[in-house]
Amino acid sequence: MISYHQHTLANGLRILVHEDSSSPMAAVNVLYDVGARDEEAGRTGFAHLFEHLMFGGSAGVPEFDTVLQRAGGNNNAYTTNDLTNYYDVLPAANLETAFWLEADRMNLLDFSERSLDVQRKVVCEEFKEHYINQPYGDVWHKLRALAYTVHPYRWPTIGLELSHVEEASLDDVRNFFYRFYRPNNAILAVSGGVKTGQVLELAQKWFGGIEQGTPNRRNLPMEPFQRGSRQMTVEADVPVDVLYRAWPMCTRTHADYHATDLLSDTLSAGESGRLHRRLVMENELFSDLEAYVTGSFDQGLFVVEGKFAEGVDRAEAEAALDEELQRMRREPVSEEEVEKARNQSEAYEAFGNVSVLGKAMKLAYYELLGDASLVNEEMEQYRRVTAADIQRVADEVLQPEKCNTLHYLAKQPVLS
Amino acid sequence: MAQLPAPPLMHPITDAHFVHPEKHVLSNGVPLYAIDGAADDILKLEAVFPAGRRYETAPGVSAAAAKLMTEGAPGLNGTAIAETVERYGASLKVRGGFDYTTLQLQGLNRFLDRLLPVVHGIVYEASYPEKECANYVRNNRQKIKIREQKVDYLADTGLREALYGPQHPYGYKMTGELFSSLTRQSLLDHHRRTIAQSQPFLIAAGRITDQVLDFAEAAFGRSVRTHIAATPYAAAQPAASLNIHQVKTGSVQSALRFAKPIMAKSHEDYRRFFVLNTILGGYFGSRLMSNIREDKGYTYGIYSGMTHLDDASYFYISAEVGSHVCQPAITEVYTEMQRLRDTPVGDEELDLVRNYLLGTILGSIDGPFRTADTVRGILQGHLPMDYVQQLVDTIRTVTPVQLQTLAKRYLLQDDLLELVVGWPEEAAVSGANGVGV
Repeated sequence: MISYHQHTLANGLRILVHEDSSSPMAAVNVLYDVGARDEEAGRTGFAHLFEHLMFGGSAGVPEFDTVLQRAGGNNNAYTTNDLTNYYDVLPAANLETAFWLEADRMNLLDFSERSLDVQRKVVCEEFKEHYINQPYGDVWHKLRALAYTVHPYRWPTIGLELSHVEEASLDDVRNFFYRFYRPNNAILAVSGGVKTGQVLELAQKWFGGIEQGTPNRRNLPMEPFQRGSRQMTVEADVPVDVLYRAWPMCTRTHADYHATDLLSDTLSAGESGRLHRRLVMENELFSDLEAYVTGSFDQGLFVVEGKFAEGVDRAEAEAALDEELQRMRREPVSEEEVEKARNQSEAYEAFGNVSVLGKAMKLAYYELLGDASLVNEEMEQYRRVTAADIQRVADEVLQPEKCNTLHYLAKQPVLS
Repeated sequence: MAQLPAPPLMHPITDAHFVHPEKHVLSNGVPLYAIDGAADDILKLEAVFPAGRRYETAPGVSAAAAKLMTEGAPGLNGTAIAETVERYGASLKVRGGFDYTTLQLQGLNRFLDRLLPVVHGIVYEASYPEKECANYVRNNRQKIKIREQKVDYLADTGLREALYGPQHPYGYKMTGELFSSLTRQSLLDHHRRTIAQSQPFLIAAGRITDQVLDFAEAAFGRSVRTHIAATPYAAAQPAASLNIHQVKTGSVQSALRFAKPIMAKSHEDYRRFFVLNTILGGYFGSRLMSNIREDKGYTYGIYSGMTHLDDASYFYISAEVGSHVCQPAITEVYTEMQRLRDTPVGDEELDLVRNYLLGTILGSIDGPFRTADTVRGILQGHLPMDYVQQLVDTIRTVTPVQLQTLAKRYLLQDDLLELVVGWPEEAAVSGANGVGV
C-alpha cells in the first residue's frame, strides 16, 4: 500500500507525493508521455537519443550531473516504446536542487550542435555494444518487424538502424522538445523523507511558470487483427539455435491483462513452471525456455523463448512445446498453480514498495496508465484471476494461426 | 521560456546515521545480524558460508555445488523444492563466489514455516541427483560457448587469469572440458565439507519478528558448526607480459581492461584511495567518463573500481569502446592517470566528489535491504561496524595533496596490466608486441 497526495498545476503538470519519514533520501521522478512509439518510421531511435540530450545541459544549468552530484545525488533515465522516465535520488535536505534541475531542463534545453554530436556517437556505441556486437543482439529488431505490421512497436527503442541516429538534426531536437517535453505532457512523482506541503510549494515555485504546450493527441495506427501465422528464419554466427514465438495480446489496461500475465507465470515463472519442468528438466528438449508478456501500453506480445538443447530434432521439440501450449487452451490449470502465481505477484509488489525510488516510479507509471490509484489496486486485480480466466485467455491468445515464429539459427559451416 | 528562480542553496552532508544491525547469536554460535524496518511483512535472509572457489578441491566445484543445492534433498526432488518455494511467493537462490557461497531466501514472513523443511534440507543434506548434475554440465557447456563470443566476458576472465594465473582459484577460467569433468560425488563432498558444517554469518532484513529468529535458529542453529580453512593453493602467478591483445575477428567493439593488485580494505591507504578512484572513474562525472564518453564519444561507459577478495584485491578500469578508436581511448586513460599524478585535484572537483560520495553512503544505508548489502560488505571485508563512519570521516577530510601522493604511489602506467579483446586486425598485425603510448 502506497499512500500519496495528488495535485495538478495550472500548466497541466501532474504531481504525486508519497511521504516516507524513515528515509533520509528523496526520489524525484519525472515521466514524459513519449516513447519510441511516437517516432516516425524514418526517424527511429529518436526518443532514446533525446533522453541522452537531456543530460547535455539546459538554459541555466550547463552540466546536469555535476550539480546533482554536488548535492549528493545521482540520477538516470530510461526510454521504452511507451514512455521516457527520468529520476534523481538525493539526500532529502537537498530536495530543492532536483526541482531546480528538472525544471530548468523542462523549461529550456540548451540545443547545441556539440552536445548532439557527442550523444549521437555515444548512442551509436550503445547500439553496437548491445545490438550488433552481441550474439542475438538484433533479435528484437527481427521479432518486432515480424509481429507488427503497422504499429510503431515494429521498431525497438534503440532505433531501426544506426543511420537514423546518425542523421538526427538540431531541428529535429527542437521540434521534439516543444512537442513532447511540456509540463502538460509530464508527471512529477516525489517520495521519501519529504513533506507534501513542501513538495507542492516547490513544484509551484519551480514548475509553475513553465508554459504548457499544445496537447499532444496520440493517433497511432492500431495493429490489425492478425490473420495467418508468420515465420522468419535468421542464420547468423551464433552458438545455439533459438526459437521465438510471439502472439498478439491485449493492451496494458485491458481487463484481461492480469490473467494473461498469470498465464505466462503459470507456464514459466521460476523452475516449477510447466515449460521448464516438462521440456527442460523432464524431456530435455530445450536448455532454457520461458514465457513472458511485453506489458506494453498498446497491443502487446505474449512471447515464448527457448534455446534448443544440443542435438535435438527441432521439429520434435517444437511439437512438444505446442502440445504444452495447446493444453493450456483445453484444460484449466490447477488451483495450486493459480495460488502460486498470485502469491508471487503479491511478493513482487511488496518488495517493489521498499525503496523510495521504486515507489516514486510506480506512482508516475500508474498515473500515466490512467490513474495513480491503480498502484494500490494491482494486487487485487491479480487476486481476482481464476483458473477459468487463465484458460479463457490462453484459448484467445495461443491460437496457432496467430503465431509469429522466429528461428534464430547457428550458421552451418560451408563445405567447399 | 519562463524566468526561473535563483538556484537553491545546497546543504552539505555532514553525517550518515548508520544504525548498527542488532546482533543475535544462534545456539551453536552462528551470528545473525538483524536489520528491521519494512512496511510490509517481508524478509530477505542471507546465509554467507566460506565455501567459494578457495575452498574447493577441483575447478568449478563450488559454483556447481551452489547452483545445484536447490535440486534435491531427502524426500524432495528439485521440482518439489521449486514448487514449494514458488508456491509461497518466495525465492531461494544459492550463488557461489570466489570466497563465499551465499544462500538468499526472500519471501513473505507468513509462509516461513512452510519453507523451513526445504531450507533445512538443502543446507544439511542436499542430494545432488545424477540427472540434474548431468543437465547442469550440458547446459553450461552450451552457455559458455555463448559467453565466449562476448568480448566483455573474455576480457573479464582474461584479466583475472593474467593477474593470478590459470591454476589459482581467483584466476582459472571455466571451460567446456572443466564442466565435463565435474562429478556428482565432488559436489556432494564439497557441500558436506563446507555448507553442511562450516560457520556462516546470517543477515536478516525486512520486518524482523520472533518468527524470523525462530526460523533462523531452526534452519541454521541446531548443529555443531566450525571454522574451516581454505584448500591450500599455490601463490598467484601473474602473466609474463603486461600487454595482452587478443584479436576477435568481426568485433565492432573491443573490450578494454586495465588492472593491478591493490591494497586490502583494511589498509591505511584504502579509504583515501577510494576517493581517488571515484575521481578517476568511480562515478558518472568521473575524469574518465567526462573525457572518453562525454567529450570524445568513444564509449557508452568507462569505469574504474576495486575488487576485494579475502586473499587478494585488485584495481581495474573497464570499458567497451569502438574498435576503430581503441588506441586513442587507451592513450586517454593513461593521460587521465598522469594528470592525477602531476596536478593536485582542484577544490571544486573534490568538493563535488565529497558530496557525491556522502550522498551515496546515505543511500547505501537507506532502508533495510540497502543496509543489509552494506553490512554484508563490512562483514566480508573483515571491517569494524563503525567503518561507515570512518569512511565518512575520510571523505570529509582527505586533502588534494594526500590524493596526489596516492596517485603517484598507485596509479602508475608501468605496472598496469593492459588487456584488449576485439582489436582491429590491422592494429594487431602492426603492433603485435603491444602499443607504445
